[in-house]
Amino acid sequence: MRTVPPLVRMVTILLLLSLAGCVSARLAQFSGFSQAGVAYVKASGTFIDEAGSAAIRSDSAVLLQARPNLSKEQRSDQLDKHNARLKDRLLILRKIKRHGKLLQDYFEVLGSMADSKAPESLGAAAQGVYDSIAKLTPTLKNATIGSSPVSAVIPSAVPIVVASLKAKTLEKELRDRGPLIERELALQEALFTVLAQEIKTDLSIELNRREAEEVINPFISGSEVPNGWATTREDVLNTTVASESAEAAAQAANELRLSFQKLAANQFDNNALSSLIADINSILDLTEKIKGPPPGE
Amino acid sequence: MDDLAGLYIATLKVLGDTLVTMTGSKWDAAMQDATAQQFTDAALLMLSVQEARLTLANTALADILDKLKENEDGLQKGIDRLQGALDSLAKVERVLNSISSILSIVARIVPLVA
Repeated sequence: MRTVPPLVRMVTILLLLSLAGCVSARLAQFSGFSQAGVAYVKASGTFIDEAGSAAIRSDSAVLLQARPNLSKEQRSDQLDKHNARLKDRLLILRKIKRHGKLLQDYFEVLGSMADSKAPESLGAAAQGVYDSIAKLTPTLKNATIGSSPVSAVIPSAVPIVVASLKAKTLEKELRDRGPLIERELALQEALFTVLAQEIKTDLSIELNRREAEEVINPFISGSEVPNGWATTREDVLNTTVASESAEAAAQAANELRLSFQKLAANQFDNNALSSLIADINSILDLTEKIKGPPPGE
Repeated sequence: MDDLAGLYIATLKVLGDTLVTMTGSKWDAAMQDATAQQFTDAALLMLSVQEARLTLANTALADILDKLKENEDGLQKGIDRLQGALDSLAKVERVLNSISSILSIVARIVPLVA
């Protein structure tokens, strides 16, 4: 049975408590959303790390399969070329992670604004964070990851209608930058949609090799089946099935964006929060299932 | 633009499918009777496909629209031919030739180190 990671469990409890029976329930919603946003960025960060690892593992699988048929010179040449291409890929992934980290900073500022006495200076802090996000956006929009250009899968804008708030700094922030943040969340959704396609291909390549070399060949050969064969088989099959849920991060990004819309319009409630948390949990769940074997195995 | 984006996506997809096929057990079976030269060719082509896939995927679509347009017909035919060869897997030589053919077109669109 799968266990909920302690961080998520703690965040879930805190968020639900913060929304229940609070004096200023509306402001508490912002606090809850802010914490959920931070949890989303942390969870999606682990998914991005895993996407990078899966890309390296699949490339290694291809190199290792080809290696016996290559000369020493060809091996060296191919390794150099593939390393260079993978570094480019990892650089793009790092930018996606940076985009998420800046959104996390933004969510934290938004959480601080959820107070009727929040200073106006927080508006300048939010502006600063947004400016940094906006600098990264064009590169990511134009990027291609896997089999799709990111720009081709950015979802249409949802309108951000801001209901009146006691915390005037927060209300002004939502009116000024709400629609812009909605677009950044849409970009996150697009990034994870294309990353999902990519991670599926990378995992298929890696798992194909593992299945052929560690499951099929030992089983059909005349020799004894190695220790741990059944466990390896189980792992390969389970990971293959899990990789089909690679859209979990995009789903969570979608939920976060729609939650942001509901939050601004005063339609965010415990059900919406629970649904958001479930989606964030599913990113962690997926990442855990598709993780490669520990180094050295 | 939409057509070219579709072609670009289809190219990346067929390159990914090629790698998935060539790392699978059915490919191993198909290579059972291959010659030493075919093994070497297959190894080098597989690496070139992976390089092409990574290079194309790391390149912004907007930067290669003109070259995609110039090679639109050849690329589309190359995709169809390779997909057909992968689907049947009847002859290793046919798959290798189809891979070689599409790579020569991709190399006109993005720089590949041969």
